[in-house]
Amino acid sequence: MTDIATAGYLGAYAGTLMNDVRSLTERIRCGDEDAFRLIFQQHHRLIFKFIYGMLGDRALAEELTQETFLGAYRNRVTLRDDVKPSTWLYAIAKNLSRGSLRSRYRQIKAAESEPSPAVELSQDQSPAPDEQLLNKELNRVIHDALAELDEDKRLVFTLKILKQFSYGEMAEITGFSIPKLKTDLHRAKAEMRRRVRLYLEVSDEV
Amino acid sequence: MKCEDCVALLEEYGEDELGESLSDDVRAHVAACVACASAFEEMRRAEEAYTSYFLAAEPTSALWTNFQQGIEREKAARSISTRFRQLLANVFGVLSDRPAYAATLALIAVGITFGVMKYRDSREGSHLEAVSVPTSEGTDLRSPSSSTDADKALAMELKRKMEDQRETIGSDGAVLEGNKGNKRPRETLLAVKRGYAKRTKPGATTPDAKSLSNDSVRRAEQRYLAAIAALSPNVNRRRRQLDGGAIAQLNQAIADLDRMIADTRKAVREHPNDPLAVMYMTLAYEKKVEVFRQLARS
Repeated sequence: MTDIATAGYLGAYAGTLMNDVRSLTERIRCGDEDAFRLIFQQHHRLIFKFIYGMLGDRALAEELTQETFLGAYRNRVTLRDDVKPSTWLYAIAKNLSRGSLRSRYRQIKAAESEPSPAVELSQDQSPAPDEQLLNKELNRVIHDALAELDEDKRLVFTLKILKQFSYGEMAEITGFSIPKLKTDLHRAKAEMRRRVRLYLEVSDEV
Repeated sequence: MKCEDCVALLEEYGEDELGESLSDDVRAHVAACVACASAFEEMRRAEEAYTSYFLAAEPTSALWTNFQQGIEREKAARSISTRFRQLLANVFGVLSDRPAYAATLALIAVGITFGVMKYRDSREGSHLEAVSVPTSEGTDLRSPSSSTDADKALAMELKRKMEDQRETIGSDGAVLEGNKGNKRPRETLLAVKRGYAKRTKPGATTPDAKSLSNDSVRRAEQRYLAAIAALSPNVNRRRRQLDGGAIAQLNQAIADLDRMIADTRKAVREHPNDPLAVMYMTLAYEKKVEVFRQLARS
């Protein structure tokens, strides 16, 4: 296939994709339950992980994940053709998370002293080898380090780690400029590395 | 490429944000420099640790079920909201468009209230009429033999009435009705005394007709109160199922109706023999009961 034909094929494929996205958008606006089932299946796990990264509370993350999709259903007519459903969902999740953070700031601080998230996430109660213990400890350190980041950095860091959004997509979700996104991400990673470095070195020795 | 330049670009290199040429330069330097290779490896392992942290966080399987139930609740609430808008349109005979019928409702309330106030003003300025204080025995207090005797009889009657109804006197002399903490001024002692001192014109309604009128007003009031009491639980239950916008409209509609009722009641108390005042009051009662009835049925 020549470059031009390839480009044409890819263009047609991209056009088909865009048409698929657009038709999904229209179906979402109409309240099509199958369309909502589809976007739920595609995005609910990552939306949950995103909110969990923001709030550090599993039960609250589950509640706000449900609220994200319900909010999307309630406001489905506001979904524009030029916005991807995923970007739209993350924007809703972001607003809910920030609202929850502002009203529950003290509870978030209290969550830093809660039992290790590694314990919460793992159902395994049997004695674990050193490496697994270290992973649990590392998870706890990451959990605490995330809670120490300010909201903006935590938001950018979580979006980037989870889904590897482009800076353009993150700008759409967060409303931040791209220079601010890059700066916040760089600083967030530097702070996180400072906190976890020791545990990475220790795990190297195990 | 120097180490300090390479380290500054490592993050973007890891995120594939660098152009092809710069990526090649970084790659070549990392391959040749132990320190930069170690820094890049630390960065890579940190990213793996973060990814592993998020991988471990999973939602429960109940999330989809809870979401579906939430949608069903949304649909039910929308259905009730839509039916309530139709109900208001049917009751008040206006379009179901929110701004239009809200404005129309407000205009109706203002119009009736204005009409009642104008009526009261015109009646107060045109002639003197006895203001009768209906008692439980139907005693007409209008015609004592002398003002001194009249004052004494009035004071005794009011005192008995107050004791019967556990009324209290406010600091401004208003006779307040104690009713589960909802106190509202009904009539002042001063107004009663003033009205008691007036004499009816010749040919005014007979005491019997007056008693009949008072009885019909009391019956209308009792029927109204009983109907509202019976319908209120269902209305409150329906109210909880409405969305915020519909609740605000319902509250506004009820507030407008209550204002109408208060004004018409005041007019009737001041002019109990006037059939127009009684008609306004009865109409206002019927309107509110009808609204409650239809809402309870929806």
